[in-house]
Amino acid sequence: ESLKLSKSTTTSSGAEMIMLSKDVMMDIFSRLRAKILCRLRCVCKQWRSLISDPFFKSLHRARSSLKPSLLFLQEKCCGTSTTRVSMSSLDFDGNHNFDFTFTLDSYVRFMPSKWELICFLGSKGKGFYVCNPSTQELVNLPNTPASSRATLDGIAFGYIKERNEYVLVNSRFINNDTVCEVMRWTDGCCLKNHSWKVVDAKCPYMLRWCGVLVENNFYWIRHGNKYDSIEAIISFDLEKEDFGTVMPPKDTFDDGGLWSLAELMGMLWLFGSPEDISTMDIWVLKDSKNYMWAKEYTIDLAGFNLGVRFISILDHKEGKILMDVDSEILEWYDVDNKCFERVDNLRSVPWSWSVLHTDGLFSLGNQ
Amino acid sequence: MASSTTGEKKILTLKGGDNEEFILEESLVLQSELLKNMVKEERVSSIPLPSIKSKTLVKIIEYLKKHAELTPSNKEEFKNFEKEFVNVVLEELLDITVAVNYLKINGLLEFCCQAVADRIKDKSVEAVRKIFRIESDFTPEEESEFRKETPEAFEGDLDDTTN
Repeated sequence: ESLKLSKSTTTSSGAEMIMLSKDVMMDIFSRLRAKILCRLRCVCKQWRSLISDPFFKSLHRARSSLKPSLLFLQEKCCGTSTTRVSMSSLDFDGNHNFDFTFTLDSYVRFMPSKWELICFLGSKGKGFYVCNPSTQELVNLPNTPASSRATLDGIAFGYIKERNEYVLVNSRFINNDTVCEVMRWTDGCCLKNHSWKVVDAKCPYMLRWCGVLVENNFYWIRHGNKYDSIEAIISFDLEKEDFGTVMPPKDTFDDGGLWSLAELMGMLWLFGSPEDISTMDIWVLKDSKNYMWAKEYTIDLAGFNLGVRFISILDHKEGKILMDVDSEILEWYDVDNKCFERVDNLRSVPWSWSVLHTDGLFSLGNQ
Repeated sequence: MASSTTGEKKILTLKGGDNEEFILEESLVLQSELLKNMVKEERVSSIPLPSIKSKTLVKIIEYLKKHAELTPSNKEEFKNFEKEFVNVVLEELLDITVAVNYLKINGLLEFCCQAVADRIKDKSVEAVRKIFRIESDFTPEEESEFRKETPEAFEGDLDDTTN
């Protein structure tokens, strides 16, 4: 008895077509970058449908999320009304993945992000833009009643992995005029025609800068010079669509210091430095219901003797915290050995904003 | 049929596509999930594999032998062997991948998939079609639409070779 192996079929020209099983093709494709897959979509109908198959996309997403890369963003004003935006992707070994450059008829402000999509705010009533740099898809979101805003205060952009869903929250509190709008979308949703949902809940305070999403809750730091420290962190529950407050760690907030929030490893982290940014205290919210904070690390920043102005936290893995210092250098902080390791193979790409980025095929519905 | 034995070691015959026979120790083929099941359940001593070219089978048996000898001390040597193993023309690599998938040799399959991915990542659409012997089934209108949308897929500094 012989075994049959469906290796090949004959094409009209008589040549044997190579037929790898769907599983094997998916395995091979899942190892390729989205940009290459966009090219391979043009090979034949079968490949095209395989590459847009939701199951394949999730396989690809799972594999590429194990190997995030660094995305460096830069905006340059050209004349008075247009901005040239460049995005450059490098992996941690310094290999160049791709560049994506486009021109917009507005200024831009980048928002923190660390998934497949990048979100930023345009000026002059242009509202929000969402971009997948891997596939070079860019969409200007429909306007919102509150979109003619100029700052990022009270905005938040997040990703819910379980549902493969992105969420953008736009809340504003100015002179008792408070607005909160939410937009949520999944893969393939036609974003340019998508609509905002106006939420009844009233944002109780002015919020400072962009919020972060941790398990269905967005968190912001409250804006103001003098805190009533009990209500210094404001939350927005995405399911209940309501605002709340989170008690910060005791006796921590000082008015002149630099404070920021980040989502790392599925938890909310609070980073705080005094006015001179000589040290940085790092807390993690261990239990969000009982506001149990644990002070995990204190970093001595004296090594940066040139005077740090701003630190943004990009990642925390394998005992190291990745931070962007003044948009000039990237440093890994080793929490056990209490030392810094500079990421030094960045090929001198200049940047004004850096994010951790995963390659992916998330579609914004343009094609 | 019961497996023939020489001493303690069971011997098995694999028959390649061109009827060439390969005699090897049964323990080696147990790395293949497919052959393992056949040997365990049906107690065969000779397995015909008509759709696998003998040339491909030789390569795979070579891998099975090396992999069986893998110890912590020759890891580096095995890595080099693996690198050389996939350093063949693309057509042969695809033949190997198809066969390895069929035989269900999981570790090697992963390695082959990565090798194929590395080899096609810089290829133009036309080159990929030639490699996989695929004829475009898009209409000329669709085809020209793609060329407009993603011109870089068809031109630029992509690799047009098929090996």
